[in-house]
Amino acid sequence: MTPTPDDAAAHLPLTPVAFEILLALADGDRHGYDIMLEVERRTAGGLVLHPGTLYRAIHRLVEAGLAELVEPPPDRDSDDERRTYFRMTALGRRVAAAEARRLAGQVSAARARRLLKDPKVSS
Amino acid sequence: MRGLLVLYRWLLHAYPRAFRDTYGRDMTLVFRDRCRAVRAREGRTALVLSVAGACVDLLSGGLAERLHAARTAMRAQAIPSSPQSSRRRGDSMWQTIRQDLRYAITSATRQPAFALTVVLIFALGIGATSAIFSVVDAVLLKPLPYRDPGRLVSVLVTTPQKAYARIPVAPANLPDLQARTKGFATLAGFSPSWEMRLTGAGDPAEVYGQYVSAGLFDLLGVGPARGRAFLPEEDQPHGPRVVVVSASFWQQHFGPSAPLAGQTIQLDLQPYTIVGIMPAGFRLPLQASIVNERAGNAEFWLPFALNPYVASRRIPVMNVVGRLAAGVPLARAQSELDAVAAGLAHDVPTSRGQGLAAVPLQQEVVGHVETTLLVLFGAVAFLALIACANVANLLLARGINRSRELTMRFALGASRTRLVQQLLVESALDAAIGGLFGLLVAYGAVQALPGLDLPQLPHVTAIAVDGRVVAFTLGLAALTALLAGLAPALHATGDVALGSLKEGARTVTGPGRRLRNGLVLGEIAVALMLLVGGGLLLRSFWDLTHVNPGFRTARLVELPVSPTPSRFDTAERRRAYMTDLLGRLDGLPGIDAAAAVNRLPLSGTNTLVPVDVEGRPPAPDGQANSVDRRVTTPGYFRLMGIPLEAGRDFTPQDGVTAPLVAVVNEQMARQYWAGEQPIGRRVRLSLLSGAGPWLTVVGVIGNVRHHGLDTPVSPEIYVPYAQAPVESMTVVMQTRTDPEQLLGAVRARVWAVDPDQPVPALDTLAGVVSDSVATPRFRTLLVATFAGLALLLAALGIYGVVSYSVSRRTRDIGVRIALGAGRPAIVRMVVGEGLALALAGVAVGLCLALAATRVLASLLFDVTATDPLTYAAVAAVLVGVAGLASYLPARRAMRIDPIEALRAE
Repeated sequence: MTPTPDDAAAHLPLTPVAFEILLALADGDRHGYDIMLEVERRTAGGLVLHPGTLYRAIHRLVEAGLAELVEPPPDRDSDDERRTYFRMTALGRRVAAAEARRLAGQVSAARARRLLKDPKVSS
Repeated sequence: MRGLLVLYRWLLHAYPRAFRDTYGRDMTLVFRDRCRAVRAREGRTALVLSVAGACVDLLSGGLAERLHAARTAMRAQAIPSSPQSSRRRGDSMWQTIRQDLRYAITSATRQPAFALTVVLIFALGIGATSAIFSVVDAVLLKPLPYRDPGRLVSVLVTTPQKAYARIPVAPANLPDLQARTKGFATLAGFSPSWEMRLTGAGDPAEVYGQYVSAGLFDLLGVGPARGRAFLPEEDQPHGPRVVVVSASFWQQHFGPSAPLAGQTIQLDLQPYTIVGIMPAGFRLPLQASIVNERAGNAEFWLPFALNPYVASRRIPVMNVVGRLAAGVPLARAQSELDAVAAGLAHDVPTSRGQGLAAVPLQQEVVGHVETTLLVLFGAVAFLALIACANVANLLLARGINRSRELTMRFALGASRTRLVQQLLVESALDAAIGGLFGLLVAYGAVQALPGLDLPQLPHVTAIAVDGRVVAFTLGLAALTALLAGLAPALHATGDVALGSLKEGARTVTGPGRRLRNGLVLGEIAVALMLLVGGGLLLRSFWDLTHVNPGFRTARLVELPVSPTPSRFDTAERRRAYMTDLLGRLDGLPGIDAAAAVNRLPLSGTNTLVPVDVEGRPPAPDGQANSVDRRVTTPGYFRLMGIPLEAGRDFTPQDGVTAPLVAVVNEQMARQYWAGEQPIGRRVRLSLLSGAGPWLTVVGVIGNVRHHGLDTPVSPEIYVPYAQAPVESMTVVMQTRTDPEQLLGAVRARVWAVDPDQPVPALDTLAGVVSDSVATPRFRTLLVATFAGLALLLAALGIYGVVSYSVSRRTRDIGVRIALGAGRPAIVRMVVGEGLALALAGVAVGLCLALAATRVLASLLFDVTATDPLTYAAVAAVLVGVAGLASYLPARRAMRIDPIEALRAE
């Protein structure tokens, strides 16, 4: 199979940060701080992103066509601080799904080898 | 907060312009939101760490992004890259770096003076920062050395009175705390350091130990290195006399290989069996302060059951530590404690009006030095920033001088990236060597620490140049190399890339000059900020040391004494002891007078006692009128130079059978009998045994700053020793000779009365006063030193810029002189250039200082953070130094020979 630019597989594997950002965007458009909070909340504080890391990762996603910049929704951010919002593209959604499948495959492989059952490993 | 945002926006320049334009504003907003959240949620230390992390992230990310942009641009030029070629590229990159390093070493040896200056400035900035970091790391950042320290809390008693905000718990209340709470897995307690007498091994010595309840070592998760800890049955009334000793105590008295079994020591004339030895460096989590200065040196631990106050519900001598049960948040433990406090207030009369507070142990132990340390770290970080600006300026100047060499290499095919890399490797080499020297500086500073007088710094023994400090230093060196090297490298190669092979391009305009001026302006602004901080602390310290303490110190020495309890066990015997002792000391050649007091001013020890004043209704529960109670012998006030405002001092006639009398201080008289005659009034103190007898006020004395030079005076009641013979007293003596020479004779007299009384040294009262301001002195000294170094670096910066500009304009100045411009006009022109820079820097610096010195407010005494005098004086000093720094090159300009200058072209 020859990879074309549009092929989701060509973008795999995603970096953990990139995957977290796409997960955060799967619910809908968000601005940077919102993404940061969502990632922090979902990982229970396990992944705390500095603005530099966050925006570089977002920039990579935008360059690769997995996310795009959008105008803020009109009803939000009326506090005069218009922020840039980000939206997951259709390609982005396919890539995130492919990455999830890839990870799920690894997880089931780990489970098959009893890596996940063993409390010493999982704790 | 605004300053942080400005800094962040400035650091954003590490990113390529396109990236900055797209995301810069949003990144700043995210940074701001995050800072606010961290500050609100986790406090200032976390904020500082988070900001530092964000800045490092920004710089490294910016660099990576620039590399990425460059690579993308290359790929856009359709250069096919196969895995092999990229590997080859990696190899060759390593090769070029090695090549650059060799080249850097060669060029450093060609200009050794220049390289040495740069290395020294780096060493200074990096070394000072690393030294302070090692303190901050050991004291604030490292968790306490116990098992799972994050779950440990300190339980304190709170009262409405501010002067006594943090009180330990009365020992008999511990069982109630244990029984009535569920949120703690365990609760245990320990006493402050207790002075005891070690006898049977040479001269009697005073040693310090702590009483600990049986579960304490388990709770902390630290056990003895040899032997065992106390058994629960040993912490019972009438339990055996057993002791656990420190590693250093064992080493000193028994040696490493002595067998543990059956060893005993004699404390306060009682034999104790040693059952265990703690690991080296072990100490209990106690906030260091003047009172328990020697807490860190506790040499042994005894079961709490042996403590004289173990059954007391009134005497607060137990520091209670709890370990939160799994899953219990601090807030829940606190609400349980609130309920316990309410219950105790109901059941136990002495607990009325008291609350209980759970404070994270780390905060309790180090919280009081947090502001001081963060201020010091901030000051030294700014110093490092100035050092970077200075190096950047030097490198810029060198870059301009090397433009021909760079142009040549560019012409021979080196890319601009390659040249930038070369220059960066050079500054990295300087920073690396500077960092190594900096490590030595930090190591020397840390070695010198124990010699400094730092009674209030916890964990002094844990401060060391360890792996973390080395890693920090390396990171700092890399950061400074980048900060100082990047702009000059980009600038020097920028000219080259523009193809300026022009000979004799002698203009000093353009971005180079702007950059250099901007750097110097920034240096001056930051230096001004540091100087204002140092100036404020100096003024405040000056005021503090010129507060009238209310007593004199000249020729006075002190000696704490406590008659051996087994020998002087009754009040009658103690009275006889004190009369005998003072009589013998008074008659000693070299000593003019001797008297005694139980609590010396500024020694950190006080006794707060509830009081009833006749004719005034008793205060409601919990708001009891309280006074400091002190016991003195006749003649103490005169000896100490404390003025008698009314009435009389105690006399030998105020004996055990005479009417009970008291002397009060002015504050007491003003607070309870304003506008009335205090003499003849009666007061009653609550003592351990309950309400005491009525005492008649016979005198009023001047106020004494017992609690601290910066602390308001509390009401005090003095009673005569003969009517209240307490166990421990401090003898004060007025000497005519050097205290050192008197020590032998004093010892002989003391031992004639009580052979087991330790007499380690005679401390001067001036020393006691000086010790009480050790912490402000320490931070003032350090901040002032950093400010002085900043001033020096800023002056060097101005000198460099002005003299460079003069050397570039030799021809221009020569023409002016040839056309008849007077020498004073030349001096005015050159000095004016330096002053203009300085004034602009001062203006920016004043704004910075106004914002930054707010954090100092809590450390200042009698001076506000916006003290106009300090600001004006500092600005004047800085402008003066700037004038001087530009006058030196101006004199050179004045002497330019116009003919020489023109011919040189």
